[in-house]
Parts: sequence; structure tokens; C-alpha cells
Amino acid sequence: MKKRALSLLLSAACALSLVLSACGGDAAAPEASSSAPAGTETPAAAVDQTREIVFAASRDQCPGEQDAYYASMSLGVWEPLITKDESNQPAPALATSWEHNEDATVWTFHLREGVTFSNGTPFNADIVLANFDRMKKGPFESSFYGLNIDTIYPGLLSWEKTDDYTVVLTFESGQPLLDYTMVNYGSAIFEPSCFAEDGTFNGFPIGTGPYVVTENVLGQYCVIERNDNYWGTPGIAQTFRFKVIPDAETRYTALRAGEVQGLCDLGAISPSQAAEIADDPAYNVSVGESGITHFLNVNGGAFPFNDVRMREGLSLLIDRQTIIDSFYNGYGIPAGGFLSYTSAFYEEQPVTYDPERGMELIREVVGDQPVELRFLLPTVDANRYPYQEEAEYIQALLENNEGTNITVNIQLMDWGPCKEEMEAGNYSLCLKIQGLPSANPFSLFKGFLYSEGSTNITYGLGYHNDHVDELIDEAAACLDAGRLAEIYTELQEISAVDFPNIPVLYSQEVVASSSQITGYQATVYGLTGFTQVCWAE
Amino acid sequence: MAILQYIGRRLLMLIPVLLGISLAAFLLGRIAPGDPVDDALFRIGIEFPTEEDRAAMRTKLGLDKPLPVQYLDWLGDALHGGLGRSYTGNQDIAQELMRRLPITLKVSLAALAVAVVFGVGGGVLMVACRGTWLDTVLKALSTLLLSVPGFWLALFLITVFAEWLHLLPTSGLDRGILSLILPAVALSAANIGSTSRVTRGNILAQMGEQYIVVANAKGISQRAVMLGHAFRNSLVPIITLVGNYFGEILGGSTIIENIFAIPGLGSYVVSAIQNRDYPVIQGYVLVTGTTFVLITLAIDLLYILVNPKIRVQGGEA
Repeated sequence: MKKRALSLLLSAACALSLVLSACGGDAAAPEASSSAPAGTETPAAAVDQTREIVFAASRDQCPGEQDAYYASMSLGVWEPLITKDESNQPAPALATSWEHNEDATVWTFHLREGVTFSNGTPFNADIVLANFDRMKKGPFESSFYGLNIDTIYPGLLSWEKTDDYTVVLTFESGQPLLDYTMVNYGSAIFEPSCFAEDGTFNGFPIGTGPYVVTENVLGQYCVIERNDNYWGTPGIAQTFRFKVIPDAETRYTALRAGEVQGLCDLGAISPSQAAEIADDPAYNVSVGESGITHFLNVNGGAFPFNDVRMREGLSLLIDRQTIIDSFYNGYGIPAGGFLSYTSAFYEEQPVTYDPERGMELIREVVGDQPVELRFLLPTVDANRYPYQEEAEYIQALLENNEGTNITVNIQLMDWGPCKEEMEAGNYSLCLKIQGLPSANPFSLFKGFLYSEGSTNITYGLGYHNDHVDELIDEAAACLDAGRLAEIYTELQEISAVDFPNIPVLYSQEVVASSSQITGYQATVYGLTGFTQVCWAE
Repeated sequence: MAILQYIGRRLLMLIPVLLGISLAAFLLGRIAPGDPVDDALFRIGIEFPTEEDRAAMRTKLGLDKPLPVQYLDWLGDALHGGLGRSYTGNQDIAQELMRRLPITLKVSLAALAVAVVFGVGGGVLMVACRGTWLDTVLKALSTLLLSVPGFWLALFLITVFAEWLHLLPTSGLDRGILSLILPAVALSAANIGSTSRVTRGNILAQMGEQYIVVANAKGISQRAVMLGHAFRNSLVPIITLVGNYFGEILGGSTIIENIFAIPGLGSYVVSAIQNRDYPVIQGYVLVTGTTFVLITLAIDLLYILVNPKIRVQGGEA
């Protein structure tokens, strides 16, 4: 009886294993072979490029009909009027050139000729006007960047064409940096027949890009196919599938298991995972620029961080390179300034590490009196970045300062209540990331540095500088792009000595792919996208 | 007839139950710190909102109304079959929940099946091999399964069966039944452990009853006594336990769905909680609450099938 039970159990285990082995073949088995498109001169031209390449991302790359853009710009389904070049300056895309009048109230855009949409419709001025008609029905939500005509084109009075390839925009007041706010998502162009009556999409988007959406199952995957009638250099690979795998560990295992050939989009792979496979020839890790800056926000409205010496002292105490090397596996750049290094207006600020001077300044402020600091970590960021370790490092720096009596309590908190605590001034320190909402950093400066700035208030920064307020007021009315750049430079210089918050590090975008494919690089939303990605073998 | 009356009464009881849980969900959402207004503004391109922007969005979302009015508005819509639109993505919530419900049910039922088959089977096997090394190993295994956190087990299973052995997919639902195996095992592991121990205990308790002694005296084989008498009589508490598991599995699916990238109700509500998407949270509670109450009713009816001594009397089981 006992022997029979055991042998039954073992037989069942063997049978299950065999069944699983039989069913467990690669779902993405190679299809019939064919070569790359004629005229594609790449090292991969002799390789079968009709096989599907699978990528995984933490979120939908095609959020669907209710999203302002339907698909991420990286997919290359749609293109904007203006993109940005490698130095982050506005660069031509569907608009080849543009100019404005003296007070920047009238902007004229010259459109690219010979461009067609994936359905064969020619691109021209009427198309651009229809896109502005659609934008006026907004604002439209997006998981990438919200599409709001009032923030991208503030005070837009009219949009007209002067001929089939020239569009004129007229504004109530001057917009000297309009071309910066229009970069990429700010000037996405679609074929108007894909819009529903309310301005959302009535099906798949139709764009002028090198790929078209052919399948989309929300929350699961989307598929894009090469647009063989693309007006520019076409993509190499025929088909891409983008799977949604929200969990970072599962995503990484999917790459290791060979289920996907690459990981893409924000937080594609954690620094520790990237370090694990960086030297493995079976994988490629690519590091690119990221617009994200990690800030140590401080409660400048209360003791001790209401004293600039305390903020400066803490900044001097932090060894940013140690944080990057120890907790981010080297993926990051020490941050000295308020504005991200990917901004066209970035001015490098010194990154100073001087622990002796830092300790001295802190001692001057707090003396030997007992000081309790409340260090908040929002879970949304602590789940993606090594904030707990980083906070413990900063805690150790502050608590081990000879001659002082500082205690730091670290608290992990959901972002909603965390923000409420910050606004109420019930905190001392908080690590938080900040992205670049637009290529024009005005709203960022105003939000953080202006006395009445929304983030200054909601983060409880308590920052106030009359001269900064004057500069921001001047920038709001300034019609001279050169003067605006000067103001932005001065604001960066002031923030580097005033420390409204303490910049810790500039993020770097890390992506990974299997060495079965080639051409995949980390880029901050660029036009090349996946056109260079193809099978290597 | 009595059974129909009983089912009718149980279905009528659904109304106060659902009202209660929807009110609790509504109040918990509103009491919890956090405000969906800034997130909603961010999604339409306003990252640095003014107080005017916030007030306008609050009005648009209906959050400027008194709490009782907000609740009654929502309830009125729900009674007409509408659950409103989500703050995030502007989706029709009822449609989205109905699209996701079958996915969650599929995973949950698979997990329940795994728990029943391996839990009850394990319990019976332990009794059959009582006192042997196999009994000891299975008891230790059941304790292990009870102790291991589901999310850890999920990652362990993915590493072993997907990354090392390449037998099963890491995530998604595009490989049919193969896609269900790992989530089902991860979701049901603790339940397998507890079911096997309860089954073992119940059968052993039944084996000590007088009718078993009589059956043995009649010369009926040990296996027939155990399976035909002791096992059958031990089923009622096991069915109760399994019915309760369904609630646990529905709750546990929120984490497991996220790990295995399953687009069910669990992953939907996790993202709704993060975004303070109140209408989605309330809709989720309503749908899962109804599902749970209906499953409990089905379990109660199962008692009657399993044990004829339980009869519906005056509409009560």
C-alpha cells in the first residue's frame, strides 16, 4: 500500500514534468525565413528580420484610445513637428524650419513636403490645422505627457495656413520659447480620420512614423509592424511586440529566460540587475541620458533647515559619488545644480564634497542641543530606487557628527500622505525625483523657486528670495529668448548657493537587451526609436 | 421549494451586505490621506497647478460636494448599472471591471482547484501513510507552504520554472493553461498547507468514531472505511474552509497579478489605490463583494449535496 502510493506519486511527478516539457517550447518560434527589406544596408541585412522581437516594459506602450497620443513616441508610430537634437535643442521633424516675429506673437512653420501617413494620406498644412482643432477639444490625459493646449500653446488665438506647407500660429502674448515647449509630445501629428468626435482616438492611431500599430490588448501587449511606405529611412525589423510586465523582478527574469529580447521604458532594469549582466556577453546594457533628478527636499520653513548653513552643510557632507557607486551601481551623475543636465538651458554647477566644512556649518546651526529630524521616503520612489539605503547613509552622516546631538527617524510613506505631511511642515527631509515636464524649464523654476510656487508650497520648502521672485516675474513677461536663457542661468547659480532643495544625483536611463538583437540604445524619447533595432543572428 | 426560498432569502441579504461594504469602501477611501486632484491635473499636463486649477478639477471630479451627496450620487449610478468613469485613463469602470473579472476568476478558480486537489489529496495521503516518513515529510511541507509568503514563492517559482528550466512562462496569459500554473500555485500555497492539515485531522477524528469501529467489525477494508465513511463525513468543515479561501485568494491576487503581469481586478485596484481613483476602488469592492457572497452561497448549497443530514428547514440551512 505504502510502496504503491509512493510509486504513484513519483509517476505523477514524472508525467507532469514530461507534459510541461512538451508544452513548454518557445512560443515565439521562428517563422518562415525572409530577408531584410530591399535597400536596407545594415550588418543584419542577411538575417531573417521577419521574426517578432519582444520587449517588456512596466507600463502599456500603447495606452489606447483614451490616451492623448495612443502610443509612446518611442514606438515610432507618430512623429512631431519639432523634435530635439543631441544637444537637446529643438530640431526639425515634420516642420523643416520656423521663425517668429519680433515680439514672438506670430510663429510661422514650414512643413516637410513629400511625407505621407501610413494609410497613404499626404501630410500638409490642413492636417496640422486639424490637429490644432483636435487639441482645442482637450485637455487630453496621457500616461506620458498630458496634452493641454493652454500649457503648451498659452494664449493661442488662431492657427491658419498661408499655403499647403506653411502654418501660422498667432498668440495673445509673446512666446519666445515656443519651439522648446513644442518638442516631441508638444507637437504630435496624427491623420485626422483617426480622431473620434471628442478628440480621443476611434481606433488605432495613424501617423507618419516608421511603424504602425496592428494589435493592442490593454494591460497585456501591443504589436507594431514596419511601415514599408515610410517617407524616411525605414525600420529594419518587421515586427515588435511590447509586453506589459509591471514587476521589475519578473521583467528581468523574462529577459534571462529568453522570453523577451529587451527591456524598455522608464525603470526598465534596476541598477543592481544591470550590474549583474553588464559583463555577460549574452546581454547588452545601454546607458543613456535621463531627465530625472534625485532631490533631497528640506523643510526650509522650520528649524534647522530654515538656516541656509544647515542646507549647505548637509550638501557638503554628502559624498554623491559614494551614493552612486554603492547604491546605484555606478549608474548616475553627481548633481550640483537644480536643472537637469539634459535641459538645453543646463549650466554646470560645482559639486562640492567637503565633510569637514559641512560638519562645521551644521555645528554652527544646531550646536549640541538635541535635534530630531523626520526623514520621509515616498514608497512610489523607494520601490524604484535604493532610497532606504541612501537615507540610512544620510542618517549616519548626520547622527555621527561630532559635537552635535542629531537623531534622524526614517519613515516610508505612501506619496499621498507624504505630500500632506510635507505641505503641513511635518517633516525635515524627503528624497524625491523630479523630471523635466517641458524643454522650457520656466514652470519648473516657478514651481520650486517662486515664493508662491505650487511645489514650493506643497513640498513645504519654505523657500523665499526676493531677487529670485523678481527674476521669475521678469521671465514670465520676457520676449527675448537670449535674456530668458540668462535668467535661467542666474536662477541655477542662485539655487546652487541657496539650496531651496539639495540635488543629489542626475539619473541615467539604463536599458538591457539580449545579444540576439542589436541596435538597441537608451535614448530620451528620440526619433530613432526602434528603427535601428534588429535581429543580430 | 424550500431550497428556492432559501436561495431567494440569501440573495435578498446581498443588498444590505453590498450597501455596507460599498459604504465602508467609500468612507475608507475618503478618510485615507491623499488627494487625487494633483494626479488628475498632472495627467492633463498641469504639473505645477494653481489653487484655481485644483478647485476646477475638484469640481470636475465631483469632490467638492458633501460626502453624503457624493455617496448617493455614486449609489444612484450604480443602481442604474453604471459605475462612472475612472480618474485615470477615463475608462468606463463597469466595462473595465467586467473585462477583468473573468481573468481574475480564472486565476482564482485555478488556485482554488490546486488548493483542493493538493490540499485534500495531501491530507488523505498523510492519513494513509500515518506514522511513516512520508507523513512526516508531508507535514513538514504543509508547514513550509503555510509559512512562505506568496510573493516570495511567486518569484522563486518564476526563477526555477521559467528562468532555469524554461518549462513555464514568467508572466502574462498568452500561453493558455501553462500561464495559469505558477500564479495558481503561488496563490494557493498557504491554502494547500492548511487544507492538508485540516483534512488529516478531520479524517483521523472520524476514524475514532463508533461507526468506524462497527464498519471495521463488519470486515470492510481499511481503504473503503477511510474513503467511504471517514473522508466523506470530514468534508463539511473542509468545504467551509475552502469557501473562505476564495476571499483570501481574491485578496491575494492583488499582489500575485502584479508579479505575473495578469491584467485582472487585482492589478487594476492596486493602481487605483496608488492614484486614489475612488470610483474604481468602490466598483472593485462592489464586484468582488458580490462575487464573494455568491460563492459563499454556492458553498452553502454544496453542504446539502455532501451531507444529506443537513436539510433546509424554513429557509435556513
